[in-house]
Amino acid sequence: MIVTESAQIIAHHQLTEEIFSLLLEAPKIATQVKPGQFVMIRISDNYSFMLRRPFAIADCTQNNIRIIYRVVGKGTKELSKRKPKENLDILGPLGRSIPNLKNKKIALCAGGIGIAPLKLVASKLAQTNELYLYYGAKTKKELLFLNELKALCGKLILATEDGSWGKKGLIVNFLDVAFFKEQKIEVLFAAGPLKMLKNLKIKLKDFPQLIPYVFLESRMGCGCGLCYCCGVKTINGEYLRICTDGPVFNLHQVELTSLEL
Amino acid sequence: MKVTIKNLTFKNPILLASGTYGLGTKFIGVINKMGGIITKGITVNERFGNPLPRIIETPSGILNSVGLENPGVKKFKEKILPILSKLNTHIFVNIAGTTIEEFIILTEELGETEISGLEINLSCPNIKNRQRLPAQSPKLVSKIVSAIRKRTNKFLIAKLTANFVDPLDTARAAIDSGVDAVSLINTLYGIAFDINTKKPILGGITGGLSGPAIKPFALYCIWHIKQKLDIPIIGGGGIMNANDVKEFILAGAKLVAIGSGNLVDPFLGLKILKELED
Repeated sequence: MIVTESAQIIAHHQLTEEIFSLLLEAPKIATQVKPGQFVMIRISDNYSFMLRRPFAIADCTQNNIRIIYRVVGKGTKELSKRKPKENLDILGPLGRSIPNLKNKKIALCAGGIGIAPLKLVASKLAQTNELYLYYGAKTKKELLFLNELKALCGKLILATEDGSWGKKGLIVNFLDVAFFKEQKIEVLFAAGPLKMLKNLKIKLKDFPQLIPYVFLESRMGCGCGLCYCCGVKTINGEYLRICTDGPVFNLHQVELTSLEL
Repeated sequence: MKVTIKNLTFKNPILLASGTYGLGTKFIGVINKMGGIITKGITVNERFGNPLPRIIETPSGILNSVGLENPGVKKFKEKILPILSKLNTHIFVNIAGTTIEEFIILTEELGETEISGLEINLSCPNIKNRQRLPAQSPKLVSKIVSAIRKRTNKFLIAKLTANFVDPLDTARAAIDSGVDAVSLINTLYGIAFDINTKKPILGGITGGLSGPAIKPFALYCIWHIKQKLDIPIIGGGGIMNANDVKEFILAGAKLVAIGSGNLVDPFLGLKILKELED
């Protein structure tokens, strides 16, 4: 059940120049969260920031949820100024959970801050599946939680755009479809920039045995299916709501060009 | 807090405004406590709506260009109406025709159903190729309302605009032609540009402005009509708390509609109701 909760900030750390980790005490939401879901955070209770902002949930315990976010605009900039012991009004859990998977070989592909939702996905799926993580970022500093991810994923392929760690280049270039086929990898979860997802779509178009799930983002109004402001066009031309039909979609069912702004 | 207008009694004066609470199938617990809900605009044929982005934040406001995305009246009747008929409050379906003929079809499709009434959408700014809003012309308002009134005995609300028209004239035309209440002010015209790309930000290019930014103007419009016409008004425009509701009632509204506030907090209606009761 979706609820609003006044969540106290337990910790708020700057991980890199632009990336922050926000730990919130939100038991009413935390007890319900499933991997794939997100929350909407009200940045301020004045009217300078009218709309809540959507954030993926990266970690979840009995009482707490962790958000990992990049400062990209005025809302996230304002959020980054919030201090421990302050409270934030949050709405959640929102969106649908990922499918329940067992005894499968699963690839995860994270580009940059896309690691946030995939971290929770990995921690859930690792219990009953074999995971292969492909993770790329701009620089070594932005490759986050490597020790935790190593413990969850049997195989880790890392890349940085500047070559400061792992392979040099975009992570999507190192996804090897022949290897997927050989290893019988059946499912893929990907989260990252739209460009990465587009490259992925091209790469996987002749590989129907693999089900590719992608996390999509869009400007949102309400986050809970009331306003019809977020959406992605399907191959049939209709819009699906990212907030309530997603945020996870089958890559082959959606037109990524409809998300270009 | 009961309010009676014509043959309908509302358990409280709070309605959920069209376009801000979907089709009425989510947050049923909230809807059932409200005086009523007005669905998203329904058209004759299914509409996929405008390209993204459809919403941006503005100072104390929201600019949207959803473009009436909806399943069309047939699918609405088949799939949504059975869910709505179980609700324990007044259901109004917002009907959005682009011609008189379409308004007639929508009335005939919905006029005999179990809903409490129809809200005639004469003022949606987000339909392309529409030169004028029907609610910018008292003549057109009369024509559309009369055509609908001839075909149904349901409670009728005219959703009017304050964009480039004196709403007193259109309110008078609507009441004289047979509506039971008028609703205003809907959104105000708006546009926003990206200074880097030099292009409009919204996918629909222009949009409708709502939220606290338009509240004083909304209050003014209601007060202005009320000076001359003693008619039932559903007031809305930036209601975010119980004090806002009280202001709208002081201005002359009999009922109020929460709009943008629902997007900020889907439980806002309940919270306002509790504030009013305390």
